[in-house]
Amino acid sequence: MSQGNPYGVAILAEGIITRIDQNELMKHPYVNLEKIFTGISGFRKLISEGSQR
Amino acid sequence: MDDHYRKKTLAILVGGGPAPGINGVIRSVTIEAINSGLTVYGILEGFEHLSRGDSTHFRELKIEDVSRIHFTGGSILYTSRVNPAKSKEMLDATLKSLTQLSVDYLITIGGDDTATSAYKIDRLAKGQIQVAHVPKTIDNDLPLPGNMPTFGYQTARDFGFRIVQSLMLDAATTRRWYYVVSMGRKAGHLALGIGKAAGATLTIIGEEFRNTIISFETVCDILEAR
Repeated sequence: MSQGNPYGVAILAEGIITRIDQNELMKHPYVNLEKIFTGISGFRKLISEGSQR
Repeated sequence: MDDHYRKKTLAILVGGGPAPGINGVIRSVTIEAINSGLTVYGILEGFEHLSRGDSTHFRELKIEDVSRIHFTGGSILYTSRVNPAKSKEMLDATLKSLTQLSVDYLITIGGDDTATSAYKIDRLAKGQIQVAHVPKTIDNDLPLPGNMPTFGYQTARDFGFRIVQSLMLDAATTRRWYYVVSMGRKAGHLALGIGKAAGATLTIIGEEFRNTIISFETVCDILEAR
């Protein structure tokens, strides 16, 4: 997924998640908004799918 | 008995969600209070019962009850999310319950809601009860004297470090990326503390973004650049 390291661990503070532009997310129909705010698995899904754009 | 000669009473309670270090605070407060000549009451389940005018849910705490509780998580006094600051009736009932217990000093352990309740009780009591609040935030988002971290922060950081340390190995073994969301709605101390300790590939905190709203594209770009 990432262009540099083929693997790694990224930590995101909760403050990033809660401040992400909701209008922008609406443009990504594959993003499950409900899941984003219900845990790590939701955000992991969001990022992995989002980065395939 | 003349109030002047009555042994003074300190009550302690816990509000909000659980966090590491609560029992350590209960222990320290109880020992210090007893050594200062006070009787200590541990109020069970936060404001749950006090706010309904029920003053029967408490236990007197002795030093032997608390001297080793800092080794265990949770709260020996349990906790509750009931917020008496929401209505005047609940606040009045809380003050009445504390008065029935002859409480002179109240110590609350909790987050924003509990702090607000403590403040309102203090105002309502007009000096009858001295109130102090111990902020419960593992986000370490309060500037305490001497750069002391808020209680529970170090435990949470250490726990998060061990999780991320394991994920680092998993990531290298499976050659995958793992994304971890750390607590810290307003402050990135916990995320950074975990990231630094575990040597995470990348840590992103809210303070790095000037605008209130963060672009999803920007976050993805940052992650993909690594």
